[in-house]
Amino acid sequence: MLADLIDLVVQIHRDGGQPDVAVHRRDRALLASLRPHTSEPRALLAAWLDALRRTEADLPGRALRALYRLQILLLVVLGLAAGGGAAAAVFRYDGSQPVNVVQVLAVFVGAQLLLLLPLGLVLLPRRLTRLVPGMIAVQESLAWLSPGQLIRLLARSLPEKIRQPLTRAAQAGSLQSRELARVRKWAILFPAQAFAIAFNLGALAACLSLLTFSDLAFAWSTTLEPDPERVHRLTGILSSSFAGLVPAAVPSLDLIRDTLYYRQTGVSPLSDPSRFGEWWPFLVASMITYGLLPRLILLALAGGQLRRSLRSAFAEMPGVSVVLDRLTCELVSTQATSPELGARASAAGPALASAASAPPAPGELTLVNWSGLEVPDESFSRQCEAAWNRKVLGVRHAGGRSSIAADEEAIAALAASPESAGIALLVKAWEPPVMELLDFVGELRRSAGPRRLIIVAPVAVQDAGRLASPAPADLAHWEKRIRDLRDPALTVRGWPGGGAP
Amino acid sequence: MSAPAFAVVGHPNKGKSSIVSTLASDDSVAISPEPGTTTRCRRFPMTVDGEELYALVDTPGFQRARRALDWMRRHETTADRHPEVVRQFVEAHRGEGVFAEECELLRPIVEGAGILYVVDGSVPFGEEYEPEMEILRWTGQPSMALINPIGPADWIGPWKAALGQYFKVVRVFDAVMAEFEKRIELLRAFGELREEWREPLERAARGLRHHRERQRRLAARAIAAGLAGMLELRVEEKLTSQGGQGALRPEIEARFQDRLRSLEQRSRDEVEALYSHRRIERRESALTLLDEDLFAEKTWLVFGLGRSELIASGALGGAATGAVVDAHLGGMLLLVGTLVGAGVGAALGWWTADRLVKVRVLDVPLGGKKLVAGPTRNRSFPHVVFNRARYHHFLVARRNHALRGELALVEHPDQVLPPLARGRRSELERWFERLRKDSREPGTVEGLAGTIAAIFSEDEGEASSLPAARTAGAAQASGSGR
Repeated sequence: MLADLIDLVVQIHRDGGQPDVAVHRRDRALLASLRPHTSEPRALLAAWLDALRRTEADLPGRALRALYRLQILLLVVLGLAAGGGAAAAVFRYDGSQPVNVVQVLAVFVGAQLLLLLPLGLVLLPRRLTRLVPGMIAVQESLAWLSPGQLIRLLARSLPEKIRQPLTRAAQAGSLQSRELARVRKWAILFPAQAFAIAFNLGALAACLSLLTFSDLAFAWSTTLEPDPERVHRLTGILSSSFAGLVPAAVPSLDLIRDTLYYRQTGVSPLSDPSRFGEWWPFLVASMITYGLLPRLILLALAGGQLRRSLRSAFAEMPGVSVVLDRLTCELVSTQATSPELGARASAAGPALASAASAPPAPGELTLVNWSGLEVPDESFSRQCEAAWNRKVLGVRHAGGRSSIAADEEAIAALAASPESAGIALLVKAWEPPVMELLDFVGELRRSAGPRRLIIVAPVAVQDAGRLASPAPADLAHWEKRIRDLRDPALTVRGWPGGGAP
Repeated sequence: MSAPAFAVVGHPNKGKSSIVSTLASDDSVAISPEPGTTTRCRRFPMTVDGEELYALVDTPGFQRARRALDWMRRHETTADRHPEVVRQFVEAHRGEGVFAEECELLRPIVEGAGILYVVDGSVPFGEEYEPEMEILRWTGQPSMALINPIGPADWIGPWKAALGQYFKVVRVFDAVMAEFEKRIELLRAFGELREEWREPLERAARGLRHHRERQRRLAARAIAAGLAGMLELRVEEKLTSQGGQGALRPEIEARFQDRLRSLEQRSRDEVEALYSHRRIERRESALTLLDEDLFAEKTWLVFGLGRSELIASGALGGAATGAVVDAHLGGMLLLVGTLVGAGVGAALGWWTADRLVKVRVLDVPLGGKKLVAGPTRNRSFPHVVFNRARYHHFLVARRNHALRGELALVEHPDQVLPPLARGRRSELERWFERLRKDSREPGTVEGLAGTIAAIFSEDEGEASSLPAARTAGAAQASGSGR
């Protein structure tokens, strides 16, 4: 699970910079390749990571997990060597001076118990450390001293390809989450306990080996007031935890009295030499009880907490819910797969023919009702005459429901009208100028000659067939479209504010 | 069987692209009041996990419908041959300039697409539409007419009467204002056009609903994460010996405000991107700090310990020393040594902190004073931020992709947003309290996101009963008609 968690953090960090659609598509495709799959979130995430590893070769989780295991192995070897070495030094006996029990207790019981104190501080839960200002900083500093930090040194041996994603995630702060801090704490403490256990096992093995294959003489010696009764009380306290199990491991007051040792005078001449070996059950039991056992308990605790923190980090890591969302939700896409092609380019024509540049205003007009403006012909003529103060020669119909042949007839008739008479096409201003109308205008121009004034008049129709001026936006569309035809004798006029044509 | 396709066809500038933009939630569709913006067909496939369930095809408008129909009539034999004649028309004129638009828009139909004929219900029906409708009828494909009221005038009645003669199904659909549920309803109506289209379109409707829920969840998460970032925001500046904190305060406060605003804007961008709005211009009043003293003066030291850390370290060191003394005395002092050691260590730590800040090594100070702004502790602040985010989400989630122009967040949200459901306010307050205490506590941001998503879901449910409000200044998709 450690490898999965590391890869999860790195992948979440990577995906953070990608568009949701892209990573969603990738993840749904990966999931499809995993079918049949589970819906249980942790198993789903693990399966997803497995699938990702096939495509993303540089996910560092497995390499780091291997390194972590290597670290534990190294620490165990180191611990065995250190414990064996320490025991060989402390239990060294060349026959000249007995092994000092006080030294043995100081090294294998006192020092180890003392080391449990900072460990206890590190183990304090966050809700307690938060109450004491500075405690978190102290905890972190103490954690730095743990043998579990060996992995930092080992990690330097990883190839750059593996280290880079981790470095990037660390730089982005992705490794700073509270969930990972909890994992990190137990992941550091676990190998530290393995080291301590190996140390104690090494020491015990060396001690037992010396006891078996050589004769050791134990005595106790101290510069401080050597009061056997006080030492007896102390050994009584120490042995109380195993006295019931191994009664022979409780040193008697006589043994303590008989094995008091002064370097200057040696032991009491009355002492029985065989008594000097009677300390070993107490010493071995103490080493097991105060050195080995606490570390075994701590190893079990660290292992359990590491698994728990890994499980909860896996479930609660920021971004996990987004990944699960992607994995469990279908990828829906509704958008175009190709870009929009540019709109028709409109050629910038010359300025629209103004009254000044247009041919002289004719006195008469022929009207064209384009696409069936719903105004009776008579009303149509009357309104146009009134609005433009010009005589209307007649009204023709084109476009709309009229046939193409009818349009052609209308064009022929318009071309045959007096050349001085202008032609005004009244169109629905709210409808856009379509090619059909522009074709009609083109045909009309060809038939009526280049100088015949043709007016396009977009109009609105109010109630009872009353013509009205168009909306400025509509008029603008018409002006633009007609201007694009670049015909100086073709003009657009609004109604009636455009002035007399 | 291939997935159904629907060609959105009609007269130029009647809102075809608006309809496609809304139904496809795609704001890349060019929508302009200028006619003839769409010149080529563009496909909008709706896929679920890569499987296409249907496709919309945006098409150019008819330009020479009467001429095209004239050609077809001249090639007509019997009614059963009408679809074939249309096909011949497309084949005969493919690549020609004259009927470019007609060929382009008829091509998907002769290939089997259903027809969505779009008209503007705010302008009168006119006879120029009849050739278009006649050509579409000749194709023989399943069809539906959509009346899209672009402007305020109401000509829907005459349109319905005219369209009813050519199309089996006629519906009114406002591309700009249609709620999400209306869109789903329309989609399901497409499925009624042909029996075999029903199943994929039902699946598509389900997929879109799930997608909508996911958008809400992700938006809620983005807002919750933004809020957490704002509530833990701190800006600090070391105080120099020359200048006091008086001169620095306005500058730091401005930086603090800027960071707050940028966090808020980032969360806005995320929400808009989640709803596929990539071109929104927002107009919103800037987030301002509430009346609160943000500032505190603290000590800093080069090795990263503050005063409290130094005191704690001192106390620990002192306690350890005292414990050694206790051990040597066999516990006779009943741990007094440890306690005294801790006290003396703490006092030394406190004393040292003040002295260390004045020490300089190679002219580099070992410590000093710093002015810290934030995090804000005003209890109303997260509510203000959340209400602004909720209002923004409310408008973005309801905004159709056909609507262009700026998104104005200027009204008072309370006038637009439905009231919060009972208990939601206190639920929010509980999450805000947890964020204030420790914004990095696992599960807090996710929990807040869950509550926000539930509120958004309720907003959407209630929003459908509220009158739709067009965003101020929003441009309508097409020019106005009469």
